[in-house]
Amino acid sequence: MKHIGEVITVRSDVLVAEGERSALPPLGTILKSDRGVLCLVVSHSIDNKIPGRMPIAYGKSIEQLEREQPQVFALMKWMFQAIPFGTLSEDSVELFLNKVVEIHTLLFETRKEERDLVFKELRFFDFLFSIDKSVFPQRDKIIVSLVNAYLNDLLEVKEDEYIRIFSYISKILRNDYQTLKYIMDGVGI
Amino acid sequence: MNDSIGFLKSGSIGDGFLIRLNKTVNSESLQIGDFIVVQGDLYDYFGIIEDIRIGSSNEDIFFNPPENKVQKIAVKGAITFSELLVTPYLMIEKATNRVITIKTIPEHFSDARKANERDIRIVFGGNAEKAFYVGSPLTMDEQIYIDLEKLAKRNNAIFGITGSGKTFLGRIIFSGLIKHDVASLLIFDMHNEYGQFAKSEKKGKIKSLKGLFDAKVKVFDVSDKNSDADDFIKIPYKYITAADVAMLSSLLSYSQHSEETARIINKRFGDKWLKHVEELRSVTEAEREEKAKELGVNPSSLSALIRHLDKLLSLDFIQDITKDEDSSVKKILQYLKNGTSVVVQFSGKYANKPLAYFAVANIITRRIHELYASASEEERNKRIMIVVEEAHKLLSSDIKDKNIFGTIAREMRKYNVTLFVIDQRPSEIDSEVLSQVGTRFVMQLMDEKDMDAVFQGVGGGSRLKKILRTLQPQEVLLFGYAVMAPVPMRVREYGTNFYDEMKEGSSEPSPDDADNLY
Repeated sequence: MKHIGEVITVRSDVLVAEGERSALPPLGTILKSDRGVLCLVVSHSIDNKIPGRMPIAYGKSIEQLEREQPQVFALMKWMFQAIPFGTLSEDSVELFLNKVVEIHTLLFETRKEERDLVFKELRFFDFLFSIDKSVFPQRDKIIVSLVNAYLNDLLEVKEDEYIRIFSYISKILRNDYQTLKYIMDGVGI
Repeated sequence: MNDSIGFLKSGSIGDGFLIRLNKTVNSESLQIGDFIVVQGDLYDYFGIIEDIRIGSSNEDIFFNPPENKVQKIAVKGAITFSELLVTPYLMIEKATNRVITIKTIPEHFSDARKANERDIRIVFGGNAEKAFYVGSPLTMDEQIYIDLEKLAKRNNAIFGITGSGKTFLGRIIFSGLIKHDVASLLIFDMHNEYGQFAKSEKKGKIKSLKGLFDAKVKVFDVSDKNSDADDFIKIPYKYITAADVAMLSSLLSYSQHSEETARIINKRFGDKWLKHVEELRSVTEAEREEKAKELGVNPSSLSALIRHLDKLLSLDFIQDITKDEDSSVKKILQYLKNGTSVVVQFSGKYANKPLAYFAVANIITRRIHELYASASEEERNKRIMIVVEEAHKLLSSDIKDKNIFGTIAREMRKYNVTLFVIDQRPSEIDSEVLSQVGTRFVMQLMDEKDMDAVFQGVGGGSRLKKILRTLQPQEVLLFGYAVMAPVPMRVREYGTNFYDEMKEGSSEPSPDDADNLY
């Protein structure tokens, strides 16, 4: 299986991984390492490979640049940040990081069954709402996207799952009804 | 089986238990008056739903409410919630099933559930020797029993507006008392509903007490036109005192002067006073003036008294009888002493005539009470319960001291004679008398003052009032001495099954029979 990115920076609360320009994982994607560490993609960034180089396109569009100067894209790093939140085993998810993520760790897409295991653990939402919104302002949109993707993959009992998930989220957000309503409205069934 | 509907959130013995409902429980599945059990470690706490409320932990929800059913369900429990306010009354000791009044409370988060048949059986199943099935909880079919022995030991009352079902309930309770020989009843039957038959809006002519217990009930009537009557009421003049007449003052348009004049004549002639007054009806004006002079009363007052007493003396059943044996009072007392109940009816021209009713009720009751009170303890071993309708007219604050009913209400068990009051205006009954009512059967009431009156002096009365407001016809809130806890209930059916159960030798469905179910 082809990897999605390679971890190039490890901090205690977030990983920075380098991916490919055309294959950056969407925000809200759950990835896994080859050792089963699970992480959630929370932001994207693009930077220069050459320190001090200033990329200026002189008013050209992306399409023009791709056509006329494709080499400039090769001088860029396509990166994403992901927050590790747990560990995947064969048939369960441990929402506790008991493994160190090494530098150069490769990150892969998760399978539907693996994501189902994540959603089975309602405490996953405690993790999601512990993400600092002032650092990652897209948090709520990420959660909407994540839950929508999960429910869309379900063939049945979507309504039951919606109720199960939002009953739990309602407890977490009992003092922040506006956020709760935003997320509930964003998730269709 | 997990039958939990919620958990104990907070509360106290005095203020009641606040139960937070589980999110899966629809508040509409519960009603005020339902029985709830909160399960502690050592005891099950038995109480009644006093109030049901919905609430929210975050007011923001009302600015942008959930838009669909799924969202509403999702936020239920965390942001929106339903709660029950339960008044605890009893504790059932888990190890022994012993029932005691509430003395402590369970821990936080103790599970709450609806009371089941077993709980109802334990609390209202009637372990007493003379337990009698009177109805069922509002939302259950289990049977609720009252302890007839306890009931008969004190004064009792049925309160309710017209059409609430007082008479049906009364008939059921009286049937129980008669069948179990707990007391001899003396029923002053204002509307002729406790004799051979009664009229039912739904069922037409139905059996009443005499119809059910022919050998144990005698019917007396003030009118000799009643062919169903066993005997007819005859009251000698000599049994009527000036105080009796004073009690009827409003019905006789009696003035204070007349009352005083009657008192003077009564004092002068003793028990022949009314006979003297009767004789003065036919004398000339001059002779009457002469008599007034002789008695030392004002001639015009004497004339007024004679005029006012005319209505009373025109009652056929008040007669110049000299032998006590010929009066109905002696016969009635004999029946009562022998364990036979007596229904006094008012048919023919005396139907719905308050003067006849209150005169007979007061005079007979006073006389019987006197005779019973002067009898030896052995002679009065049979308990007598006197049933009186429209009781507020006999027990209001201004006249309760003038008649025997107030005395009986106060003396209660002293002479083994108690009152059973049936009334629609409890607020007009003297509060001291009300406080002497041991067991109250409260049916629909509309007037706020009446509702307040029935709960006067009752712990948690304001809470019970909420339950009372929800009652429908044929439903009753029963509380007091004869039951362990207040109980809102549907009155049991009065029909052929009931008739069969009341037959001599037949037994009612008893708690013991039901034991096999468990």
